[in-house]
Amino acid sequence: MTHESTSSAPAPGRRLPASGDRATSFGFDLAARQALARGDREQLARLFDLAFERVHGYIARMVADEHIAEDLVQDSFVRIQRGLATYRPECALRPWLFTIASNVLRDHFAARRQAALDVDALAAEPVDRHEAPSVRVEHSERAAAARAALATLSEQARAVIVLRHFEGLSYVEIAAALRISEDTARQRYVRGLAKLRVRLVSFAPKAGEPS
Amino acid sequence: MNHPPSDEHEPRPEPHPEPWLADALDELRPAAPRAELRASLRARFVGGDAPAGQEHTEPSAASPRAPRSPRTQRPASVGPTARWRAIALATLAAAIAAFVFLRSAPPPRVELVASEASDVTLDGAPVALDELEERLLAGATVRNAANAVRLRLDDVALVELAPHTELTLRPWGPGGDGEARLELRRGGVRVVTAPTFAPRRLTVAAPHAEVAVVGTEFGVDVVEGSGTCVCCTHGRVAVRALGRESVEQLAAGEMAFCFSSRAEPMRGPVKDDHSAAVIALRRFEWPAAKAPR
Repeated sequence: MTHESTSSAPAPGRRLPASGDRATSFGFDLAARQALARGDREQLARLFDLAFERVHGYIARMVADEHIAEDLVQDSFVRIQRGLATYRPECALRPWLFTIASNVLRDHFAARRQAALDVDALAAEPVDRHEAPSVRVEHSERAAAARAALATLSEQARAVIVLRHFEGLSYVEIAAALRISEDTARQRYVRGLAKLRVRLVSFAPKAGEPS
Repeated sequence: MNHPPSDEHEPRPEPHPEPWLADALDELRPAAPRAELRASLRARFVGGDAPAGQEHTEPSAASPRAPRSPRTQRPASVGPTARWRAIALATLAAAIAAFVFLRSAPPPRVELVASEASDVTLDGAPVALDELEERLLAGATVRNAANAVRLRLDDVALVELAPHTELTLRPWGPGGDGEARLELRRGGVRVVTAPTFAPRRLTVAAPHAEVAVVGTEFGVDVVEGSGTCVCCTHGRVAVRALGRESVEQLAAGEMAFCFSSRAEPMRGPVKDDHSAAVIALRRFEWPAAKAPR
């Protein structure tokens, strides 16, 4: 049994979807992934350019503080770099990257459980009292409400919503990234949406209004 | 708006947020990452130097880390023969060190404390006090009746068996090497570790969950026909419910109930009556220089 949740790169090939699909690998074909695994600088640069905003977006939506998010993004890319030594090119790249980012988040939440609870508590408080302009850009009251609603979800449910809705991962990829079953990923997505629907119902169009 | 892709081989209808909900979520845009962060991280990730004027100066975790894979950093002067020789020497040294350590390492010990031998049976039969330790270490199954029983492992872990408990001890090796397991079949155990516990490893294997000790205090109770309750009162424990791959990390004050149905474990705060039994063990007086937590 695992005693510490300190794993970084997923075990080679473990539960990761095999890739035959460039869409699940940021457009990297097998030859490019093989070059990447060998540490080819051109492919590394390409991967970084394609993945940086995605990983940052995922982590920044999962944690409340942008500075913490930046630290976690750096941790993620350090682990990605180290993990390339054991990355198997036949496996899809996108879930592999998000698995590492999810592991970084999991370690962060485990180490700072109380901080995570503080984030979850945002829903019970008016959001604008917690917001510092430098921390996060909110474009509207609806954005603030959406963030507060997302913060009420559990870490796992939040991760599923972010990976599915914002990053466009399939349930297979989400299951691999979060080490859960495909059915669980789907259930958490459906339940997460239901909770968000309740929390954000005031923004739903009234009867008779165009949606 | 981002529309999640449809999965192949998924016959069920794809759940989508309504347009108004999707619009609300899509407004949730994080602040753009700082350009300096991106540039410096990219430079290190790709393996080159940071661009001029953009050296990373934050005390982040990235600064002390290797910029590129070991393959590209290997000194050219170290050839395969020298490398294999070094590996062979290191392996030999490690083997000798392990041999010396294991020869000198004390064997595991288990003692009955604050209890009587008459409180327990081993493999269903009464046992004399002088043979209790040997048989416990040999893997005999312990049962107790209405009295709680306390066992001390190597002066670093105190295990209290709740009334009507049945378990088997699989001890760690000499010097605390390897992992000790408490195979709990019924009843409950409360575990408190001494500050000197690390780096030992101890796992409680209950019918519906496995609980790994990470230097802590916790209790595990089997609820017949329902599941296994794990309560952590200090430090952390890692819990893996039966049939599930995910590991739940419990911090102090948290509990997880692992259902016999293999449903997702339920988490919540530790109940007072559960924590009281564990916290009571803090009064245990460890041998000199091994104060309790």
